Amino acid sequence: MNNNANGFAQGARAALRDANLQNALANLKKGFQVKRAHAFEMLHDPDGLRDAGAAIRANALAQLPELLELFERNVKSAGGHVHWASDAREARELIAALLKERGVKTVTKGKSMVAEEIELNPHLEAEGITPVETDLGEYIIQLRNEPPSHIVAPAFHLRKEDVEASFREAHVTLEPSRVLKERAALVGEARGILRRQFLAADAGITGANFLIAESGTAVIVTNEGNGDLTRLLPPVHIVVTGIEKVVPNLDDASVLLRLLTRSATGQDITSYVTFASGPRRGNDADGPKEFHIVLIDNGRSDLLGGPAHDVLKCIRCGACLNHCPVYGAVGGHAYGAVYSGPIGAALEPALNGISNTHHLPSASSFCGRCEEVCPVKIPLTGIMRHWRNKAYEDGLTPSGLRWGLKIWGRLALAPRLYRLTAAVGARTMALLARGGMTLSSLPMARGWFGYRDLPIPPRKSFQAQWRAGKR
Amino acid sequence: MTSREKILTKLRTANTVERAGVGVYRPQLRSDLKTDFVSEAEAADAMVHEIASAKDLPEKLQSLFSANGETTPLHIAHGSFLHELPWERAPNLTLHDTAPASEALALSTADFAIAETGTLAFVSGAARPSSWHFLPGIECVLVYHATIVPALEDLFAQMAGETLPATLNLVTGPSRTADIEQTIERGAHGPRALHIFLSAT
Repeated sequence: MNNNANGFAQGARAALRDANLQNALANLKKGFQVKRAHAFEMLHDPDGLRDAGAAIRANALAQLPELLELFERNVKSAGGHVHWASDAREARELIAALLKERGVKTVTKGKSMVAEEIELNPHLEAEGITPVETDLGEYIIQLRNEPPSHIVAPAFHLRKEDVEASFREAHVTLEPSRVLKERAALVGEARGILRRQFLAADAGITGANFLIAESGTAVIVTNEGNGDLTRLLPPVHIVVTGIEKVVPNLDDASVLLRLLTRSATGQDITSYVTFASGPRRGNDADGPKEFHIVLIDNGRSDLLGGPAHDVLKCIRCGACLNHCPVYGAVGGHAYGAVYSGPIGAALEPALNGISNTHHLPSASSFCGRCEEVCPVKIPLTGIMRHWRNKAYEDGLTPSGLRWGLKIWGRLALAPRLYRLTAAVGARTMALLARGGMTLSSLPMARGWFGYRDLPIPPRKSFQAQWRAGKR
Repeated sequence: MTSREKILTKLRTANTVERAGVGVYRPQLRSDLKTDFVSEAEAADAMVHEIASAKDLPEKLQSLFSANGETTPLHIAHGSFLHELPWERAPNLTLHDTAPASEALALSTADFAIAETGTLAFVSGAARPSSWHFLPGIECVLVYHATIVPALEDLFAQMAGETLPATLNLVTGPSRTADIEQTIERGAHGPRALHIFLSAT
């Protein structure tokens, strides 16, 4: 599905016609935006918190190799294992091998974007291992064989009737006449089904929201408690995560946690935060007997110190999606990529190559709201601009746009010609408007005019008025 | 070259980036530790009950969960000091030390509580099964006033010098999900209700 980024235009058109999706997107804006704003207003120093978060992520990236080595040492001294994977393929093969060596048949999974990124589930299934998603949203889309449509709310695009249909189809051992009209009934049914899976699983796979170098800890943030049961009940716990997630110490993670939950769902903290440091100890009453961390590069090391360096600061809160007018119009699936919205536009070209993803950084009006709400102040539009330049250099930009830009470039370097062309353009538009104040169509711009009119520019350009002394 | 060496070599040869400022943030207490803890826990949908002493817990639990005299199983982990409470005062509650099932009632004690967010902190250990904070239908937790700290950083400061336990759980309110139509439902996988019993001694 990573190759679908070029289908963005088609996906977007379909999304705009999807009434259920449009309804869900409207709720997303009302819910997430309002809750986030309130959560930050309640702080005595919201800017101070964001500055602290940005500094922590910047400092962590500045000493990334040292932190990863320290993290590795501390995981090992706590009795855990650390594995390194250069790319997605190596990661999923390594994980499948770990599971097969231990005779694992069923593995429960906490929500992990990195697991989506490396396409872990299809690989496990091909190897005869059954992955069971346990985050309710992920479980629903797994039943429907869909990718997540949002980083933190993977099934927000579905109605409860869609969920009911999926549950009836999948849970065939349950009484067909049962009532599943209410959300509570659906949640209760998933709780029962997944509880049996938690108790029966041979291994558990989670992501990590943060890694802590000084203690060799993986931090798992959930509201449902699914990631926590995934860690605690099976005999083997495997954490799949990106190499950029590490921070120096526990205090750093405390600051980032405040930012993550407020930015993601508007909560001061989620219901559950689990700090996992190695397997169970000598007298522990429960916990996994084995603890494995899989550190995945998959294009990240190429970004360090380069023009898209700051995208590595991301803590995957999803606030940029929730505040993006483009994401808000089309939702996550239209992007045809694992990471959607502004963060997807900044990150996907690094993971999957600009030739497969160049439509993503173009799907932005550069309004900058994503940067305003980013908890770690990533210059998202600047990074998207970098990828647009790269797409242009590589000849990936559509020829119409390339010619247009070339012509404009030439004109901009010849002021007199530029002024002349602008004056002709303004007069032509005034003529086409036949005395009106707006234009409702122009050749080759039907898509644009389908939703709006263009006000007629004044007959004299700004430069002409300036020269005439109107200051 | 192994992937480990490949990745680390690449990271080491990347352009070194200047370090930024200091990443510290101190939350402010709104009132006192106990008042903040209670109001934040209640804001997260926990139910907070104040008791004079841990010894009052059996009667309090019986009045809440066996008000009509029905026999109610209560799960307490094997080896927990909670078994020593005067349970003869709550004859309707039957004690079990097996893992609680999805609808069961369980009792544990928090190692720390955090005023900033109304959070309970549990350290894994011999009589402290971490999974018990996610398995039961209703979780009851005994919290002593003296264990309340202002913020997460203070909890770590108190633990400084010790290695972290295998599992440290932070619990704030009951389990919840908003994955269906962005509407919050309680009891996704963990407890549907969280009762906190705040004791001076």
